[in-house]
Amino acid sequence: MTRYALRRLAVALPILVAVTFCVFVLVDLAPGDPAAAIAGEHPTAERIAEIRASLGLDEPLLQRYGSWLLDALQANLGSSLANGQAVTDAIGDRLPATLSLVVVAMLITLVVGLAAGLVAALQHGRAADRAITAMASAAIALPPFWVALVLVMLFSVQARWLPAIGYQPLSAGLWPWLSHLILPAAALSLLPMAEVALQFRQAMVTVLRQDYITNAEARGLTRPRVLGKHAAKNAAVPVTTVFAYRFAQVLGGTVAIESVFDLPGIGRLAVTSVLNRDIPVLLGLVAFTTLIVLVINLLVDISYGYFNPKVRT
Amino acid sequence: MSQTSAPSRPRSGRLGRASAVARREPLATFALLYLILIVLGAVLAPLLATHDPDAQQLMQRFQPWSGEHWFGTDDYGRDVFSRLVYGSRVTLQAALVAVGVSVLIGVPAGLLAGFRRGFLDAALSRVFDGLMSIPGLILALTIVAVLGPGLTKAMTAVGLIFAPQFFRVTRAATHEVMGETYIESSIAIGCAPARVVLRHVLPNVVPAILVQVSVALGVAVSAEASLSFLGLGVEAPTASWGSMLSTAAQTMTLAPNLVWLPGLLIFTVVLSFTLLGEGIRRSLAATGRKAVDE
Repeated sequence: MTRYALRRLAVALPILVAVTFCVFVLVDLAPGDPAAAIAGEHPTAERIAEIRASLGLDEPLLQRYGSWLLDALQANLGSSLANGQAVTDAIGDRLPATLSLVVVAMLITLVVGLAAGLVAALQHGRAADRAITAMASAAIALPPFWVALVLVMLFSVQARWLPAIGYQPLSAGLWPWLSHLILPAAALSLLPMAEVALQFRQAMVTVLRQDYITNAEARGLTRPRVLGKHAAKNAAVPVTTVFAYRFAQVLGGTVAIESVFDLPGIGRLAVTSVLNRDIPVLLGLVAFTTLIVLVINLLVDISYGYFNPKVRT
Repeated sequence: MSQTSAPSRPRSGRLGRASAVARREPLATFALLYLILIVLGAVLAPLLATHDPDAQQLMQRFQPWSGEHWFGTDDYGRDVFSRLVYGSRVTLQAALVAVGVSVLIGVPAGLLAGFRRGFLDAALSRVFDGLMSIPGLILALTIVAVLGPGLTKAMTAVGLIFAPQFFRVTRAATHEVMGETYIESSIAIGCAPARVVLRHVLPNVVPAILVQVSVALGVAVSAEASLSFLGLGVEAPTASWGSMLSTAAQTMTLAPNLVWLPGLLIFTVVLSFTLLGEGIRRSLAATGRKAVDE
């Protein structure tokens, strides 16, 4: 099992290096000179050269990537061109809002998605099943940021039940924190929720047809026990994959959602760094988000090995 | 020999077969008709629009629906109906750019990987796996930062993000076709590899790609909306469905109804592309089995 995990890790690390290298090269090809941008209006050639040297821009590409990678391994991602803040600090400051948003969204996804999938599977072929399947299929086509706008309109502007924008840290209290997250998390969770529901329904329908379920029922086990212990455990495997695969998407989805709700998170940081062409911040964000996605994928691979020993070889 | 061995479609009764498909796939047929309507609307925009989509009439801001302004006016007094009609052009063109880019990258690479296998296959698969492990929107943002804002550039980036899916579908379909006897025999009689791929493999993987194209067009429409909403896509004052939502969001308290129409259009178009894709997939699965039996 440990060897299997290590082997998956050995595949993940080169991907991280390759992705950051490609983005590094891409950024290097970009027109425009960051040193000239920093130097401000009417800079002298010496001043630009000085800034280029201080940023290390006069060194060859491979050497610059090498030193960036070495620094990155020691958790130093450079500093922002816009305000000089360390990139790790900039990401760290924005992390709580995004993390809160993603955690609440994923909780909603799991609870509602699994419940809807279970109801649909138990009512297989009946009206409730058809309604849930149709709604979930339609939900996948909804643009999340539009859902966010509609939710703000209904629950903040018209009903005034929940705040429309902003973020409160958890230290300000549970309700202030949660009340700012319910609407954005609901909008963000719609798509993964629909997919989890469809996937879990399909898996449960397949599992419930198996002989060992009939057998368990014949032995007189109670319905909840059959469902929980025998059916759901097996149906959980494909759901785990979907759930984890969608994590990258949810992380990307925070960009638009955070803009709608004005949440000070990673997504907003990404948009402002693009608009300011703040390359170190952007590069740091790419490395950071790719790392998170790879870690999640690694955990899924390992859980696969746990659920299904056959894949370990 | 090589021509008779490739499965050929019956050419008679196309209309009859089309109506049979329509009966079997009512939802997908309805989706297709709706999309044709939307595309016609985009093509005929100059004829359909009742006003200049960018003409501002500041005295007529936030007008309700009326005979003069069918869907009212926005924060600059621009006619919402005309902006929706012209916006459909921008949105659909953007979607075509993205899907075109991903087809041009993903399909040749997938054919090559599926046909050659071995080291090339492994290397290409790694590259596309790596591409898939970057969160899509972050990659799009990086590319926009490098190339500068603008809808075509942004949608090229989106196309790059979709490319791995086209690579996977094409590669898998090519692998499957490569196992068929008629491919083996055409290689055996000495057909050049390029001829085998273009004449025998490609026609048989096109259906699988077609399904992916339909689904990807839907996602691309959604992506255009997101990017323009964030201000990274189309530039003001040009209307696209996404940029219309962006302005609607800023004036939500004054004119909540402006949020509804662009969003509903995006939703129904994305849903239609998805339903169409699923319909094609099911129809192909049905006819594909028959072809094998024959």
